Amino acid sequence: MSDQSRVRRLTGFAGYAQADAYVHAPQSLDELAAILSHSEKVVLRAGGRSYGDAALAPEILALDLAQLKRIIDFNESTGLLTAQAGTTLDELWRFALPRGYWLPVVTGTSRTTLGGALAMNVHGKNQFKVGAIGEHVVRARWWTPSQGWIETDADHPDHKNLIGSLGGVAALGEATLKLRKVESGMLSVTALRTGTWEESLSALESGRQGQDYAVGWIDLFAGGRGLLHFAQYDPHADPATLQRERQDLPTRVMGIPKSQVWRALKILNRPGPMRLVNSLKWLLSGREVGRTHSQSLVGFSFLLDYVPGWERSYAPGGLIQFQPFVPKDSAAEVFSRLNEMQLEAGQVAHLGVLKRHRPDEFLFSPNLDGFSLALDFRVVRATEQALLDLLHRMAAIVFDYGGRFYAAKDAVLTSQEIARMLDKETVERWIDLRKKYDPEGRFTSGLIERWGLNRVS
Amino acid sequence: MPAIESKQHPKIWSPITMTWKRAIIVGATSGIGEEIVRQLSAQGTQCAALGRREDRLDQLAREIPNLVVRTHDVLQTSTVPDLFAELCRELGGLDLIIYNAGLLTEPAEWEDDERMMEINLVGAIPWLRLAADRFEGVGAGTIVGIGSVAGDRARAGRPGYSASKAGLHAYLESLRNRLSRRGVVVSTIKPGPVDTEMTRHLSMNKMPVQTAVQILLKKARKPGEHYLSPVHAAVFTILRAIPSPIFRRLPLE
Ligand SMILES: Cc1cc2nc3c(=O)[nH]c(=O)nc-3n(C[C@H](O)[C@H](O)[C@H](O)COP(=O)(O)OP(=O)(O)OC[C@H]3O[C@@H](n4cnc5c(N)ncnc54)[C@H](O)[C@@H]3O)c2cc1C
Ligand SMILES: NC(=O)c1ccc[n+]([C@@H]2O[C@H](COP(=O)([O-])OP(=O)(O)OC[C@H]3O[C@@H](n4cnc5c(N)ncnc54)[C@H](OP(=O)(O)O)[C@@H]3O)[C@@H](O)[C@H]2O)c1
Repeated sequence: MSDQSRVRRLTGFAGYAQADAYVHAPQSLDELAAILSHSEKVVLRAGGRSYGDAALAPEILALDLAQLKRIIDFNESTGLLTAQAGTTLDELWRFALPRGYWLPVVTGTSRTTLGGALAMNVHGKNQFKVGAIGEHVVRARWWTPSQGWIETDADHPDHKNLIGSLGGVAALGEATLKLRKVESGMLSVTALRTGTWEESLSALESGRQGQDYAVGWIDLFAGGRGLLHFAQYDPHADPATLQRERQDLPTRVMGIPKSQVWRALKILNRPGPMRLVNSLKWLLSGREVGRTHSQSLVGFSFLLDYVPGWERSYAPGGLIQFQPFVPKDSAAEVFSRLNEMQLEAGQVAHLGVLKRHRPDEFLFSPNLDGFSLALDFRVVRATEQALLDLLHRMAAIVFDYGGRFYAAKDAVLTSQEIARMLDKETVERWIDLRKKYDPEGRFTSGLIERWGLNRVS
Repeated sequence: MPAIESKQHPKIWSPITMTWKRAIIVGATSGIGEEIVRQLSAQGTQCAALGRREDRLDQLAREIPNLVVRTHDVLQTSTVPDLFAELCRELGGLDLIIYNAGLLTEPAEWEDDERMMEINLVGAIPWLRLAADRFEGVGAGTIVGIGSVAGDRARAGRPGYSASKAGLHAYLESLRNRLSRRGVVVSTIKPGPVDTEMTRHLSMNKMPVQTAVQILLKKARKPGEHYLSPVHAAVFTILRAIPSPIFRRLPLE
């Protein structure tokens, strides 16, 4: 078989960005290093859960690291766990929870791998409290073109640069995380309903006090009303809930087998029905509001895994996620303005998720003292250009207010737009890092090229 | 002072605008191939045009902005794998390949027959096979071969030409059988006489090349063997069904 038979069509999770590349999946860290040392241009890929073009690039070698998923070491008394880069959050919690530990930071899907998590420095619904994943990485081993394998820990000057380097400088081989001890597999969850943008933001702000997690779902069709959830680890629940069987998500949703639910969603996934779904969700939430209930860690954390393949309901055009991070004092103004622009343009996000953040020092970090709002837009051929225009106009406003965007979710921003977000110091850190570890620019991706990061000097 | 260059990077395209964004046309310096490049480019397809005559390629490149051109002799089969990968890189991917290179010459000596076999059939093999391997893995793509009605029945006067086109039809049929369940379209175009340099010396009814290519590009979107006119479809369906003992008694050259 020819080289051409290795070409595969890679898509971002959201199905919007695509590229054909020569795919190879190394079976060991040694094989990974051997291939990397002989390659010209490479894009790294693992779970493929980034929304845009971060884990793909056309016509070059794409190394799929999903096979590198050994859990190497675990210390039951310190909670330090070492695993290979391709290990998913799903594999990690299944290992850790029965032993009394939970992951300090998780993403909305459990399919994220350690490598993808460190490359993007992912955050959870607890970023305001415990920071992003990088703050829990005790040690990391990276392969770099100039120095081969190197190891970093919190004292290493490049630890906070390599974490967050978008797969553009080094390949993570393995990492050691400090896990969180938990007494049970349950959270106590409280829900709160809000009527306007102002209310949603101020309620998230006051409600998060003393809580471990906080997240808001926002109805953009109705201009900012929302349903907020706060959660705390529950030390008093039955310890038997640490067992995997007590965590697993149900196999049916409303009587329909989970694997088929995306088909039902596809029917609903249009502006009219979605307006109704959002309204119903808000109205029906009346039952849970004000009361505290108990929910499994997995159920609360990986809500989006409930319906496998839900992103397919956006086919064939896919979806674009747009997630601005805005300083806290201007968040209400900016978010409500973005919402008005969507209503005016007739292109309203089908889903809006609100989170609270705190600043950190990782490279390209979007985290600041403020809020992020993740918006899902459906792409339809007839209105694709109008949607892109709207997104660029909204981005301009976000930048005007000192806001930022998150690489893992972005699929549309141009290098000129990104230049408004990256300060001089960040660009210098990136340039120095590249000079030191990947002077020839061996690592690349659609995102790195689109953001112009391969061309900075 | 760090600065981000402001050159805009071309967007990695979205699936809904995906059909035939990038194409390779082998044998694009005159006649049908050249017209294919013109019409595809006018529709917004980014093309790579190949052939031996450099002056023709230069002329085309001046006429069509962003056209990728490469001089290439299809007899040099060993150079194809690298060239194929290089063109895909330059185009940023591949959605369509058309093998159009062909020779029709008077078969004065056996070497003439051999040359037609080499250009029309052997030269096609690496291009079609590499595209098949690639598109199978990708799960999308279109492969087009320009055959000929002359490959349907081998008349007395053109053993080499007919054999080469019949061979090409069979090769494409095999690829179609392998790939049609994988989302890949393999289509065989069987033109009758078209007005080009190749047929200049023949006096017969010929289809204008623009018309032929318009029809060809429409039909090529569907898997299967296609004629360019309903009359040809009818006539050649009948001719193909005629048993050999009768066929050889027909008053055909
Ligand atoms: C439903 C859903 C919910 C999500 N929720 C959240 C969320 O709550 N918070 C959040 O922060 N993110 C979230 N994400 C985004 C996701 O967590 C990130 O995009 C993450 O990077 C995906 O990891 P992956 O393993 O799938 O990596 P890929 O998508 O395959 O790759 C992502 C990046 O990591 C690089 N990379 C991969 N492996 C390595 C390695 N070993 N070494 C170096 N670089 C590597 C790639 O080159 C690429 O740049 C969500 C995504 C989805 C689909
Ligand atoms: N015209 C008709 O009536 C008719 C009917 C049925 C089928 N066809 C088929 O249609 C195709 C195009 O024919 P046409 O009528 O357009 O003829 P044409 O004008 O002579 O074009 C033939 C093309 O093939 C290329 N070619 C020939 N030998 C080549 C080689 N060794 N390497 C690379 N390229 C080579 C030529 O390019 P260079 O010379 O620059 O290399 C030219 O671009 C042929 O396959 C032909 O068999 C034509």
